Amino acid sequence: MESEQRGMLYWTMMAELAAKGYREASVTGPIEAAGITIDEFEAEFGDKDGCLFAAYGHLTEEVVGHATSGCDSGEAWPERIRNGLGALLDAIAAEPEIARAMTRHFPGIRPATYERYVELLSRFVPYMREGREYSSVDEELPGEVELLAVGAAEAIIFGEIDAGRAERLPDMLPEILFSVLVPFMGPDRAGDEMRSAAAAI
Amino acid sequence: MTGRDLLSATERDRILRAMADCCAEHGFRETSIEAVIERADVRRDDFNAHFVDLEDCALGALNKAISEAWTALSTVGSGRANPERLQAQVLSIVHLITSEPAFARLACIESRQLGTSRMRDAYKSATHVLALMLERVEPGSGQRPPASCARASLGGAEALVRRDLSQGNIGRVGCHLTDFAYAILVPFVGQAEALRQSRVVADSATEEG
Repeated sequence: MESEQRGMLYWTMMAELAAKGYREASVTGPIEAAGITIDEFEAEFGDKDGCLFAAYGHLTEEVVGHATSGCDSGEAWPERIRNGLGALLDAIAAEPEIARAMTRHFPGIRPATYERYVELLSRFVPYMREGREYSSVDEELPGEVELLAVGAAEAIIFGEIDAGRAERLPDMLPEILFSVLVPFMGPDRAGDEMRSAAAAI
Repeated sequence: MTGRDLLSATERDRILRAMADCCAEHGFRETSIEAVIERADVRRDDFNAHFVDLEDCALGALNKAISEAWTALSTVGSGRANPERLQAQVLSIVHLITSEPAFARLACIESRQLGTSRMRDAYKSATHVLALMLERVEPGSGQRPPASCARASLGGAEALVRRDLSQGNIGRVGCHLTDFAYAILVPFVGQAEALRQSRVVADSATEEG
């Protein structure tokens, strides 16, 4: 199977999941869209579940890569977080149905698929660690502050996707940025970053 | 209440617990009425006497979890002012989660991402009310945080709970008291005060044993 065919298969499989739900989702359309045979499909994935897990893993890498590409520049940490978050929100707004499949339909299949969603969130944790250097207090911040920040952003993003308002997310960058930065920098400095981001929009 | 009513109430509770346990093990989508009645050790007629269908039963279990959370929050909050009220409320919610992990999973994971639209609505209403309660915390500095901040700070704490529940590490939830208190307070009272209050919460838990 060519890489392009694989990419098409993953994409259409997740779109099928978003459109029809797990039980009704069929592999027929995605197989046709990818231009492969049922034998090739079965040899590679076994069944619908195998393909869905592979598709989710592939799209997870794409999402994380997209969001973190802006985090590797030479800018200060808050700017890098702003850039990464902005890239993520733009990507979600551009493909709301795929975002819905990634956040609700796939995790909602069963506990094992939900664990993959938890793993996806944990992929963002390492990019938060540098935020500890921006703390306004001398004391050590709580041990899980990185996941607190990721979870704060996820709560807003998930709520908007779930409500069918994913297209609003890029405009919400400043307030989501505030919620990500506030555990590390406190409300005053996170507020400054929020206003700076709002002015840039 | 007659003896028959009492028996019926106990039976209903047993079915709700079985529902929560089945969801924790297999997820709502993979749970059947047959699995619930077998686990609760009741007959199908008994199930039908209390619930219309599986979703109705799941909603019953979810509402039980939510109402116990509200009862705990109002009981420990009564007669206390902030910050002591919030500290006691964080402790009481963590105690509920660790003592009833299956119901906690139903409330925090199943109803949010795995359940039906009615279960999602119940989850959204509960978190909305919690966020409104949190917004009543007076900000330490002049500026109020953005409108979505209360929901986000609860989301941070929930992310920890969901990670531990999904990994079956329920014992770890009780170790995150400092994180929970810090997450929900820092946007409102600032880092130094949130750290101070989160230490008080952790110390209170240690004293309670």
